[in-house]
Amino acid sequence: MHAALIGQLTIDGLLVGGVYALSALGLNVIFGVMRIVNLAHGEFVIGAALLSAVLFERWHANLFVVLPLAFVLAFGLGALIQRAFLRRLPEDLASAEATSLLMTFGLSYFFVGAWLTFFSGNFRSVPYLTGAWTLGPFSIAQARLAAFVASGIIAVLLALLLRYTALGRSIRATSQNVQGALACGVDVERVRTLSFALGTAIAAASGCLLILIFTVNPETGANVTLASFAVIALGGLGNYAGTLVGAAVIGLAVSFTGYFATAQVAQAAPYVLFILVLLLRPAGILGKSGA
Amino acid sequence: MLSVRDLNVAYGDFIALHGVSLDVDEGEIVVIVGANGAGKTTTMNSIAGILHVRSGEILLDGEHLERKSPREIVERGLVLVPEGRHLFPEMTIQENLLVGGQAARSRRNLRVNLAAMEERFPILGQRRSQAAGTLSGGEQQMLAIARALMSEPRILLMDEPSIGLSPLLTARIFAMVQEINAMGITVVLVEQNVVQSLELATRAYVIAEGRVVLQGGAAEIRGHADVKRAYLGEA
Repeated sequence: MHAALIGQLTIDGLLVGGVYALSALGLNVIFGVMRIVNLAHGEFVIGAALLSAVLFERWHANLFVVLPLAFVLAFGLGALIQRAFLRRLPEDLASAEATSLLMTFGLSYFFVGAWLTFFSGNFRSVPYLTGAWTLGPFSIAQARLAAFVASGIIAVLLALLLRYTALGRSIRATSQNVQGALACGVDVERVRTLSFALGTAIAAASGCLLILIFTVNPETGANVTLASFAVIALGGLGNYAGTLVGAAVIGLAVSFTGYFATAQVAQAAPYVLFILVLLLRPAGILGKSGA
Repeated sequence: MLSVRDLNVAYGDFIALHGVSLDVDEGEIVVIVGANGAGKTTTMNSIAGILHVRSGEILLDGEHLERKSPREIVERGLVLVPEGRHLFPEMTIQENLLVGGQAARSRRNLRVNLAAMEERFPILGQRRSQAAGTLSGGEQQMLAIARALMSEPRILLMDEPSIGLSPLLTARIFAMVQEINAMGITVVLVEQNVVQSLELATRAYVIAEGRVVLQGGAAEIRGHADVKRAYLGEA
């Protein structure tokens, strides 16, 4: 096998991994603060992807318009869903986990139906950046690079928000110790609403970037949810640095299996890895065992 | 200043508090003692708004607190140092203090208060960029107290601050309680170290099985035959 080919597949995989990382970061913010496994996550990704495809078809709206718009809409939608549904979950943790799973599972079906109604079942993509740059023996697809760079910028902004703002500190405090946050007078309900809204908005942003690379329809959301979970399982739940590593692994797995096997096998690759990690390293690749 | 009237609290079918009443005057150090499971922590968490109160009244300067959120109660100057500290282990010491000071009542003095805490507790200043989870037990307790002080409390509820600490560190925590009180902050203290806590308290309540069974001046409680027998190991 050629070194050049391996290099090319590695580049492709890592660039896609950036988008997976962004989607998974959104999921991680929500899980960290709310301990909710959001099974509707992929639907927000796909909803934004389809919205950007339609806006591109109609008005050739570019990423700089579509991404902020999708971000704001999803933020509002996330806040609404948290206040209308998730806030009403029982306080007792064990039953809240089971109920939240059923609730987000239901929301996932609702949004698949909603997107089918709005966008039809057609597969769409955004032929926006179709060129490629050549770098020695490698070719770098513009769409992949743009999606990677944009994901990186958003991830850095998220990291800055979490680290250097009062809201970010409240989000981290609430995810590390709810009782402690309450004792400090943190408005935990508000933090939960904003975290769910933020996680949903990040999902939407990743959707706008995902569709630069992949073709999607309303029923592909579940794949995205599972791929995001696979990334988090690899990196360790609640571990932001691990998320980046997990995303790189998933991106590479998809890229290599897509070339050496078939597209169908490539689609299954994240889940096979997901199951292997759950069996062998349940705390994630970087996780402490038993954590 | 703080007045608790006939407080009833239950966890499901288990009734934890049966009509607890207590009063705290401005400037006092009031100690609540009692066996494990007697309802001391339940009382503290109920006053701080963290537990739902089934019935009864909690008044701070005449204002009802029993239906207020923990945030609203902190904003009124009543702050809890919870049992077990409940720090944010992966955040730095400085970040823990900043979260403690984010309440609206103290936010404008955030940097001033931060500097004051680092001066009062030098170890917290020296290790400001270290994760809170890396501190020793005694240091963690100091951080928990400093974090609560960041919101400029008028009345501080301290739940078992000396738990798990060596006698030396316990003595330091008790000295700190007196310093805090000398700053003009009213203190309600739950303690297992009955003798030491009665020495610095103005008044004390003894709680057993969710009821106040004894109350009075600290010296009076210290001399009470039942207290001697149950907590002080004297005949």
